[in-house]
This record gives sequence, C-alpha cells and structure tokens, in this order.
Amino acid sequence: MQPPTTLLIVDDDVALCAAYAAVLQTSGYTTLCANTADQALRILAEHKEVAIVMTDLHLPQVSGLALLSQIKAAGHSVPSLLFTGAGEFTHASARAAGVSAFLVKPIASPELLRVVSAVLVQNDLAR
Amino acid sequence: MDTARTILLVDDDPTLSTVLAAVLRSGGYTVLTAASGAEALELLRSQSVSVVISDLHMPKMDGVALIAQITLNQLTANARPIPAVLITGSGEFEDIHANAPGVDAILIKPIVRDTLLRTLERLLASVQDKDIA
Repeated sequence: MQPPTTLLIVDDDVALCAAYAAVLQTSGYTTLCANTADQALRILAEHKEVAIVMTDLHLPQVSGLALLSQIKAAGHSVPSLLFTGAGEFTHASARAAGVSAFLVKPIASPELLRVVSAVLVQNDLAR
Repeated sequence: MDTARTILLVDDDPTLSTVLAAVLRSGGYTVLTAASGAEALELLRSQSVSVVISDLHMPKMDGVALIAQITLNQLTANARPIPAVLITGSGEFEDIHANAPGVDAILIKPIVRDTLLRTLERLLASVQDKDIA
C-alpha cells in the first residue's frame, strides 16, 4: 500500500490551518501545518515527501509568493497552490510566478479538493 | 425568521432529527434540518444560522468533516465560524472529537433536553461576548 500524499499548508491563522487540514485529511491526505514562512522552510527541509505546498498570499513577514521563491531557491522542486483574495491574482500572474494553481477565497471544500487533485495529476503525483 | 436563534440540525436519522427539532422549538429556537452534510452545505449557501448541530455518524460526510468544511468556508470568507455541536454515541472517543476544528461542544446520546438547551445558550452567549469585545 502506498503512503498517503502529504500536503504542507502555510497560513498564519492557526484555526484556518486546522480547518484546511481537517478537510484534506477527510479525503485521505496527510497534512503538515506551518504558521510562518520560516516554519514552512524548516518543515520542507525535514519532509521530502511533501507533494504540494499550499500557502496564503498574505503571510505576516514575507508574502506567500516570496515564500515560494525561497522554497525554489532552497532547491525544493514542489508544486504550489496559492490562496488569494478576490482580484488579487490572475492566471497570468500565476504563470509568471510559477504557481501551479491558485484558489480565490472564500474557498468551498469541494473546490479545494478538486484543485489539489488536479495539481497532483498535472505533476504526475496522483496515487 | 430570527437568525439569531436559528439552529441547523443535521442528522440522517429522521426520527432523531424530528425529536431534537421538537426539543429545540420548545426552547424557542427556529430549526432548519438537513439529512446529510451535502444538504447542510447547500442550505448554508442561502441561510444564516446561529448554531450547527450535527450527528457524528452520517454516510459519505460525517459530522466532523461537515463541521470542518463549514469552518473552512466561514474562515476563508473572513466570516466568524458558526458555533457547532457534535452529537456522538457514548464511548466514541469524545476527547479526540473535542479537538476537531470548529467543534465547540460535544453532546453524548441520549441527549438530555436541559443539557442541549444549556449548551446552546452558552454558545450563543459566547458569540455575543465576542461581538461586544
């Protein structure tokens, strides 16, 4: 049996992180939560099995996009999913930033699960 | 409809749902019912409720998953989480479910009327306190 797919969720809102995690876990994913960019980088260094990094665009010290750049600079090649507010991001800016996908808040859980699954398929990570 | 005292009751067991709805109405609440998690989520797209009460065991989407989904929808919409009560059978590891996202209270079957109504009053009072603060 293959191990479950692991997703890293990055959001400074602890309650929101837990809600994302609970929804994803009910669909069989293993989740890791980070509340800061530094924490996300540390977790990623320790957990090579992370299949997608999912981050809010707005984090307290560095933006979600800056975090994704730091992840790339640290040598991690991992697909990314960005959570944004309405009108904050476009498909063109996602392509330019190398973001695999983005979701505009408010996020309905079926949409979250659909996009996660699509990113895994795009990257041949689906199990 | 008094949305400040409207309860969404989610249970796939029509008998239990009918009994609990009657208890809630006798306590002065307006009650909306859903027979599944999907039905509850659909209903919440158009209705405001003050508390969600959900049974743990339901086919397809259990109460913990439903409450997590409602919480995610609310938080990503920058809205206050809707207080939620999970109904479980006895001995179902209520400590684990107590830490589930969005779950504010757990009631163990058989549900006692006074306990149910007291729990709702407590949750509604805590929401009012947060609004004042």
